[in-house]
Amino acid sequence: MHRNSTSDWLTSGAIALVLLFAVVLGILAVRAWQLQQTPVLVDDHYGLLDQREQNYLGQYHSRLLEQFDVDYRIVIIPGQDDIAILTADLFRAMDVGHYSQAGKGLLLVLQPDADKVRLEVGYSLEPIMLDAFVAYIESEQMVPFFQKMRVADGIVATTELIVNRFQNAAVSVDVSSELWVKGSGGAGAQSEAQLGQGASKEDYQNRSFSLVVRNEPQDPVLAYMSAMEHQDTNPTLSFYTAQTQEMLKDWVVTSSQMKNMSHTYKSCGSANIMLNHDHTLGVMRYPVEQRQCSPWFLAREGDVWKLDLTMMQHAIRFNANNQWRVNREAFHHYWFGFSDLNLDRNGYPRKNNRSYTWGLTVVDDRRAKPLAWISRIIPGSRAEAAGLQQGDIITAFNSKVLDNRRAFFTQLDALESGEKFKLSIQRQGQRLELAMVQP
Amino acid sequence: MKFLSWFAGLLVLSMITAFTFTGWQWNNLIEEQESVDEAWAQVESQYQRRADLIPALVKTVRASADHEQTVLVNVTAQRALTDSLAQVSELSKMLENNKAQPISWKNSDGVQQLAEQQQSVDRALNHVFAVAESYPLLTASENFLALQAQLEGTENRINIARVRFNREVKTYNATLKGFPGFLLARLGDFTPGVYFKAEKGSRHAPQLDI
Repeated sequence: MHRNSTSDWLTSGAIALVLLFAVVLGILAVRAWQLQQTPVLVDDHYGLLDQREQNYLGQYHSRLLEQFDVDYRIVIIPGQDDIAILTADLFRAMDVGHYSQAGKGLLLVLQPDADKVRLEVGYSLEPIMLDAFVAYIESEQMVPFFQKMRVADGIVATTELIVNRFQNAAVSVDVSSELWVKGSGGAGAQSEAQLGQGASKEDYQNRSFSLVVRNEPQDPVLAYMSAMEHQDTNPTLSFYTAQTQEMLKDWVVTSSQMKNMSHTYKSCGSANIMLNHDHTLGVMRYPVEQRQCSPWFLAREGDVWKLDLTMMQHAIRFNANNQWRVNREAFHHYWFGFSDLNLDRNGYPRKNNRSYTWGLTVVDDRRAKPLAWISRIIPGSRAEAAGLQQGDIITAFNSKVLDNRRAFFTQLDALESGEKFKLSIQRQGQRLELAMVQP
Repeated sequence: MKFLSWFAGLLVLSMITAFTFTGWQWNNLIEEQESVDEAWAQVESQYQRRADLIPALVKTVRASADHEQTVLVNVTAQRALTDSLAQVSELSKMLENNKAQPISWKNSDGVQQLAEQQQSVDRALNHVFAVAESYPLLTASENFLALQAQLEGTENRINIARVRFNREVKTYNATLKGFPGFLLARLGDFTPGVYFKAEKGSRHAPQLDI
């Protein structure tokens, strides 16, 4: 009897342990699954955004999370509850900041029924996102887009300013080490959303510029910068191409975007202008290291140089850090302006792009045996002065055989300024060796 | 015999359960009291934050208004602004003096007094902003707009802190009034909390005839 009751106890104990182990394992498995779930950053309960816009915003904010570790959520919700209390409660309930390693959270709540919008800032971001700044970007950046019912565009445009803020603040405030507190305490600001109420435009017939146009290629860019500084959104200004004027009629440009652009380009320094073969098109480019200074496209209409923003929209893209890249899939006639750049597969100019200074384009040919040849030499460039010609096949670099453009540019970019090198080429069946110096 | 041993076992089990339950409820009460303490600290902190902004507001408005004393602003508005700034400054000094005498949320008179003081500050600030509308250059200035945004942000933080405080008090009071809370209350220092009530109409700017 005694032996049976002991073995019964042992059996019960073993079963209890196994069950406990199974429960703990189940909890851990569920937790692991939860952690692996893709964060849901956009929650539209109202149906204001279509699926494409929701996907776009979701992807944009996912990149913000990856690059700046900020968990920025959007909720569009029906009803007319007090938006301040509602937002604070949602912030807690949704555990905004959870996806960020430093608990950095932002929550945008839009109530179309009450026509209100609020951006709530988590504790961890309060040192950077001051209430005055949030109020400013809502009224100056977001609401003008909301007035035209371009809700997704308004949110993206505001996020661009938030990114700028993070970039500028990164030097002075290390949020991740200073303040790691989840949740929010009511920081942020709210505004009337003014959804669909139409933009409040001033009569821009009265605006004018004092710029004297000399009809140089850079003149339309100078005029555009002046327009941004004066916050003139007139789409019919004379320095726009006809296509650009048509495009700008439906554009919304906010005063804060204009101020931001004017401020950015003031620090861009001097630019080079590259013209096409018949001098009807131009690309004005800043040093490649200035990643936020995107190039300008210029076109001659009649005898006058004009700014071609339409093609720029098509050909230039920006990442979440507001750094430009070339859209490699775009079809346009301005490719000559980038032919000297060593672009990666996403269209970003590579660093140490010394090949830029040579003014030549090299392409690969794999039809017979692999080889690299010069498809273009910019007239008056260093490459031309060094004796290179269009059609030359590059066979070796410092006596080392190469057969692709990548190898050529890698070795060229690796040279120090003033370093001598030998380039072996084949021209119409003849082998030549050129002695060159890296500028 | 068998019945006695079963009864003894049951008694022991009941005592263990009652003890565990009581201990759990006691811990709950302590936790809830701590939550109320924390929420109250937030309320005080946000009121202090607002009090800290007042001198900057007074300085900005005075400096800008002095510049703007022109035919654009009538004498009545100028006098109204001076009076409202003086009132706000006086309240600010009073708040500074009261900093040394912290108020506990368990002291219902103290909470009531704080609520009344802060409502006076609400009214005085609303008055300043209402009168400032007569000064177009002031209301367009970046410093003023930034201060206004900060004060609105602080008002919101105060509001959220008060709502959260009231929720914590509600949970805590409900536990105290329930079973076995009302029994445990006699054993420890568990005083019911007082809700923070806002005066009706205090959030609206006064109608001015300037």
